[in-house]
Amino acid sequence: MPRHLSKIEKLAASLGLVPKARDLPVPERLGDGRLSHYPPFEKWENWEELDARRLPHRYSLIPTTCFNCEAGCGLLAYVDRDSGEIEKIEGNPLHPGSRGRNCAKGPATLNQLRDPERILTPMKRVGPRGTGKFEPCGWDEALEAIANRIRCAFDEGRGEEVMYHVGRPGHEAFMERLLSAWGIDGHNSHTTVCSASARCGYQLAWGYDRPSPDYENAQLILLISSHLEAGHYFNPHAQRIIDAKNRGARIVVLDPRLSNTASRADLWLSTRPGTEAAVLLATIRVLLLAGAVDRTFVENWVDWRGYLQSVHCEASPDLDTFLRLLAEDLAEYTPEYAAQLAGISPDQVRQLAREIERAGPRVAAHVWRAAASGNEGGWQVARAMCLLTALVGAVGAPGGTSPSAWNKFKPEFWTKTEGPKNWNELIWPKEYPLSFYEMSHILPHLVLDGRGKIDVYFTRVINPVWTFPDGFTWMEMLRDESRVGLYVALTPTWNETAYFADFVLPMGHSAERHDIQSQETHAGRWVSFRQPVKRARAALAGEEATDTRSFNPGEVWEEDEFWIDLTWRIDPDGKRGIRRHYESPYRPGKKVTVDEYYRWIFENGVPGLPEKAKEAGLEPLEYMRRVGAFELERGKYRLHEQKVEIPEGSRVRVEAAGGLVTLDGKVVGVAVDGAIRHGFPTPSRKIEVVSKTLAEWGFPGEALPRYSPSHVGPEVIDPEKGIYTLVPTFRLPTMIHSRSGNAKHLNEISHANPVWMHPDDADRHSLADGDLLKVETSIGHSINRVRVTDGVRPGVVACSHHMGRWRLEGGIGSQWSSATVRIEPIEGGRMRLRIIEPSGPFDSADPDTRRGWWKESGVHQNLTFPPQSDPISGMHCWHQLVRVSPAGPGDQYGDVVVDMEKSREVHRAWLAKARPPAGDLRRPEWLPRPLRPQPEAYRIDQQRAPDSP
Amino acid sequence: MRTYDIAQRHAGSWGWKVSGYLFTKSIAAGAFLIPALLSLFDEAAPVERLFRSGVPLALAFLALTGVLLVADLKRPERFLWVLLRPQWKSWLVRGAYIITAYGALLGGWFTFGGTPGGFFSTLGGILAAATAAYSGWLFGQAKGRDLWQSPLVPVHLLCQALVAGSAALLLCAPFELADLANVLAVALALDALLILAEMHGRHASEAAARAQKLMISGQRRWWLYCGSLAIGHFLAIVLVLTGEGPTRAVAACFALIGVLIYEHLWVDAPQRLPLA
Amino acid sequence: MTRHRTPNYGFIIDNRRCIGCHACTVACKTEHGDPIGINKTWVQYIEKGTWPEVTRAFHVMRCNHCANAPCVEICPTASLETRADGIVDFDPGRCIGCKACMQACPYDAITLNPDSGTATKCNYCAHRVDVGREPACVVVCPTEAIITGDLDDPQSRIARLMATEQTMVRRPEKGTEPKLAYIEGHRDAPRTARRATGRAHPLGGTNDRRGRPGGRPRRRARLREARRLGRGALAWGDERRAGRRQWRGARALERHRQPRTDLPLRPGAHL
Repeated sequence: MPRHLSKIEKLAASLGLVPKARDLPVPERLGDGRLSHYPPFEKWENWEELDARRLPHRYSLIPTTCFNCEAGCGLLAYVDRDSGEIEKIEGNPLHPGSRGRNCAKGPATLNQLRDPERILTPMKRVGPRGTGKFEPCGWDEALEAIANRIRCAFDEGRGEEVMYHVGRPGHEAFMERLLSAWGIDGHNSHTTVCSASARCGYQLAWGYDRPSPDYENAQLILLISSHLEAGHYFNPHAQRIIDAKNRGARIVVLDPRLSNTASRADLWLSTRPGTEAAVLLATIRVLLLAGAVDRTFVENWVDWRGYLQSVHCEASPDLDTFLRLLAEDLAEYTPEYAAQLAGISPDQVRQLAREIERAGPRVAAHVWRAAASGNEGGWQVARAMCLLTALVGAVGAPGGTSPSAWNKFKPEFWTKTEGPKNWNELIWPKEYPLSFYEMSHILPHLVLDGRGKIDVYFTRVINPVWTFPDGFTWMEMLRDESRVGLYVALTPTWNETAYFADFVLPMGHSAERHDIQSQETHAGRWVSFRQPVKRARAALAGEEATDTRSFNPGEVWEEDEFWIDLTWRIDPDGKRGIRRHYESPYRPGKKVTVDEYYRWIFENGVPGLPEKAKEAGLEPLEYMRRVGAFELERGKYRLHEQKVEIPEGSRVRVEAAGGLVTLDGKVVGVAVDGAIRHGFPTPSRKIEVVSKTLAEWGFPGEALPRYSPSHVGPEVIDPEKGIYTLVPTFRLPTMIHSRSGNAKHLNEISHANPVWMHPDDADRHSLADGDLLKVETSIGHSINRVRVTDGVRPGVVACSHHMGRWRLEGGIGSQWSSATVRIEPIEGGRMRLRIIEPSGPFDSADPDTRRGWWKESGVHQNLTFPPQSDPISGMHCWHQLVRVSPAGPGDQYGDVVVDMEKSREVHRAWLAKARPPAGDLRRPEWLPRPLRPQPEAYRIDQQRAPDSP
Repeated sequence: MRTYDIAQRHAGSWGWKVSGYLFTKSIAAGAFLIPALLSLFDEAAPVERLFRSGVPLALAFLALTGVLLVADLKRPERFLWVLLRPQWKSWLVRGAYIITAYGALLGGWFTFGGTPGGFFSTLGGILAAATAAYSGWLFGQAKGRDLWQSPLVPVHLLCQALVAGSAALLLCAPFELADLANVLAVALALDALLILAEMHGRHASEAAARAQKLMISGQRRWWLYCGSLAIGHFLAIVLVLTGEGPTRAVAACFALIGVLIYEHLWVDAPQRLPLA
Repeated sequence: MTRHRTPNYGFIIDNRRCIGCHACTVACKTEHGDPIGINKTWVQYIEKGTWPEVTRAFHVMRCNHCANAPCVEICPTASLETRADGIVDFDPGRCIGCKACMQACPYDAITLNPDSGTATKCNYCAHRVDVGREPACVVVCPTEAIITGDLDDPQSRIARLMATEQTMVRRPEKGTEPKLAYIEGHRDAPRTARRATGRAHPLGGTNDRRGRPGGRPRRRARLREARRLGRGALAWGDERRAGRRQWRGARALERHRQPRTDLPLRPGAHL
């Protein structure tokens, strides 16, 4: 818009004394003057827009998927048609999960792409392992070295010594298929430091390992989680929770800490950590006594017969008896008892019950990490939550809580892989037959115990040295070349674990790599396509595009092409039977390209997509390139009621008591309401109140829902003596584990992790806001600052899971978020990590790196946590019993001191609680495994464990 | 401890250069305003001698004012745009033109000489008064700082110019005019009253009250009461009324320091309040 | 394509929806390429109350695009300018870096860009508006808590919200006529928060640590409360002088106001 200029200025401008006003071209304006969220789809190919300096740009808008948290939100990259660079990143409005919106981490992707400290070439270790010194090497050199080693291991029958450890999955089925094709049980993950407990509880109850709450249509949203700031699928869930809230839904949150979510709740129960199950059971009891249960749903879909059989075999088998007896069995869980345990008021428990009763089946409930992950026996919280939703008929109902699998898409492939024949005891130790899933957090202990060695170890976007408990033991394992032969870190950014690698191989961020992702964000099923946007643009423009490296900065690659290439090098002539799975489905015998890989999936493995693409006049692959996501279906509820199609002429057997239907000896469904229905994938095909599996696998005492005291519960804390529960797991909306540390704008907002402490507790120790305090765990201590706040309950201290990143003295690393530290042994055989130079301004191509104004970048508290494996779920129970005191004279901010020997002791103590299988099966066959081996691998006698004690 | 959000504080974006500019401008304005005022009452000859000291003094300090103003700009090379790309509602622009006109008049007087009590003396007096006072309206346009919103500010700045001008003239030409000491004493007394009124009067708003409180409590309290009021005003009045020669020079120095301290505190204090 | 009327753009920030996620801040910074230290929009967290009667308020702060903008008035070179469509725009090419606008803004919404030595602030993404698109912060917001549009278009979402919801502006006593209105801003304003729930002010000392009346909070708790109230206390304005809590546009539309019946009242328990 032209400015009005004064006469003097016009005169001065005509005399050349001042510059003339700029006259810049303005692109055509959209629409009728109303502002629109996004450019219309038909203009994405060639969209003209001004930048913030009002210079016009021609963009191609290419969709991809965010790579920060697990939600898989849609992104839209603005690729400048003239410079070819990605100029900005917004949300993809056509993505069904995120609907065009993002959290702070979405736009911060641009920071990550432009991080001046990115790893741009493959790096090879220089000097001893773990000194953090590297030199660039070529891809061929790295690939050849890795392939030779793996080929050698395969040929010598040591396939189990090849391990792939993944942090961020969502690379739907790619790696399961790859490892399956390789024939090795080498898939390791992060679930035991994340969600094992919740998965276990849900699985035991309804046979699915996670929920998919229909927040959008809920009347009551019951959260033992913080979905308005983190959680599983933060942005997609937060937007739906807030939509529901503004339509009148109520939010109830259980959390000892005032999370952002709790601050938006209608009812916040600031419960003592470890007592959540008692509160839920008391709520169940109140509902039972009030008769506020969905009788039809319970009659049909809750395995009450099984309950009566196991617990009250003499009782008459009818629903009323069940409801009465269940209430009686829960008699001790009065609101008063639960409230006293949890440190809340009994009225709050009753209010929770009233809220549930009022919402009827529209109860969307979620526990994911939080209480489940923090406490020993935390899986009971998830099971109680699942039962609660079942009793009110919310399971599978609109506005209720569905199982995740109903809303998640799984791709299919052109060849079938069989699955490994062996069982990897380093990943699935036999002490934990019920673990969910891979026991990754005790890997270094198992290796140091001599249970096996790793010949080739891959990590992909995982940073166990930092993110997992007991990082010093990880370092010890990784330093030892006799235990870990070749360590290859696949990562977009530097991290603490990668410092110990032999090869650090740079992989692209969200806009630089292929994969597909599907998450159960709502009552719908979608698949989204992550793609290197510059390559996609070239492909759409009809240019030749065969190698993602030629479109990424430096020599940054992507995993898809890397693994395909590596597989061909491992099995160059196809004699090992591996290569055939990575031959093109379109050009027999040729190496499959990434385009062909996804083309096949989109053409053959996504129902409805080819038709939708045809409507748009596009091939399925091109459709996904342009749109970025596809919703397979929406609003599917009560899938457990779906009828099973029985092949004509076959004879099924229906079991009289439970109604189980078998066909040729295999359970295919359950007879309910006059038809054979799918039901739930539990042994009884119904939601199980009592778990026979637990009883049979060594835990009869836990078979029934109950409150079992946590290792950090109210029974063991004593604030007067400085003994508190430490909640060390809460997440911030701005960060994701250690992977967002290179995003400058996120770091600017969140860069420290002070310890939250209630004012009364702080008074007790004469700690004022910002004072240094010492937090002692059973194996060591850390020195941090205190944040005195009413946002945490007395007796509990809390510290965010982010921050406290470090790099080694003289080593390489990301300086945005990390301090330079020295790691050295000190007296008493302990290890100490001490900051010798805080994070701060540094020189780089980006002038912003000189402007970091914060000095303290957090404390690496995870180092001071010993592995505490729940004997059932295998979960590392994160909460710690700590002693808190003001810091001493020699203590410095960021100090971490750990006695590794004690850590070994704690591990052994928890290991002793576990119960190896009594029979000849390693694991109940109905429990899932991400990479499922062939049935014979489940038999213990089938494979001789070389180092079994 | 700020860990989970971002602060927005711009305390002190106007710092010592701005308070320094107020101070030098007070001297520059007062050094002409005093003789121009006195020429209305006094004999021509001593006043003319006073002009002879005052005009170069005013010119020098006006130049210094200009230097400070330009130096405070983050884009000093664009300083002429204030005059050449003016936005007339801004008192920065109006003030720049006033200063320019005043400077031109002073230059002319310096080069060609002038007549006390004549047209240029009166015009110069008006321009000097405007030079002193306009900042009051400029600070008044700074809506974010409630302390500066007082309608007394232009008057106060004028008074400060009288103090600064008479004190500076006393230092340059201590024997020119007996009235000068009386002017200084009266101006100081008036200034002290104005300061007390601004510090202890009913504040117009909560933000103004907080800024006042910042000035009259804590460390700044000592600067304000001891430095500016006790030494810079009361002691200066006593010394200038009772003393002779060098004592008066000391009194004049005290008065100048008193003005400087107050102006700095006054510029600084409201900027320390967080507005968001 | 043709426009009959010049729009009058404004913002509503709906505190019933804001979750304090900072997405707006980061989207703004990447859209504008702003350096570390410059935040044209930012989110403030303020914790209020005593456990367990405690909550955390999120305040999204930025330029208010005042109809009567003091920064425009004080700017000597017209580098700040109120456009015909109501956006208070900024041209760094004219700025001399005098910082007067930073003194004039009652909302602390203007900062100095260390790269260019010129002032900078939210300009409603005028460069996007000029091609018909919403500001970056609006597009990114996961909960649609930031609403933009033409205040004078009765069909626009922002005008409908203005007409039907209770809104307030920051520091109305300044007479700047902000066009950034908050829904439930008052709930989060430190001074009114307790009053709204009918409880005694924490500084009054009439409720104990658990919020029950009768006790006196501990001294340190009171001091902390005082400090917390101090933070951001001036952000919302001076109640004694605030003649009107509402933007005048909202009052003009008041006759269309419909009482909302579909929402249950939020209980006072969580203020």
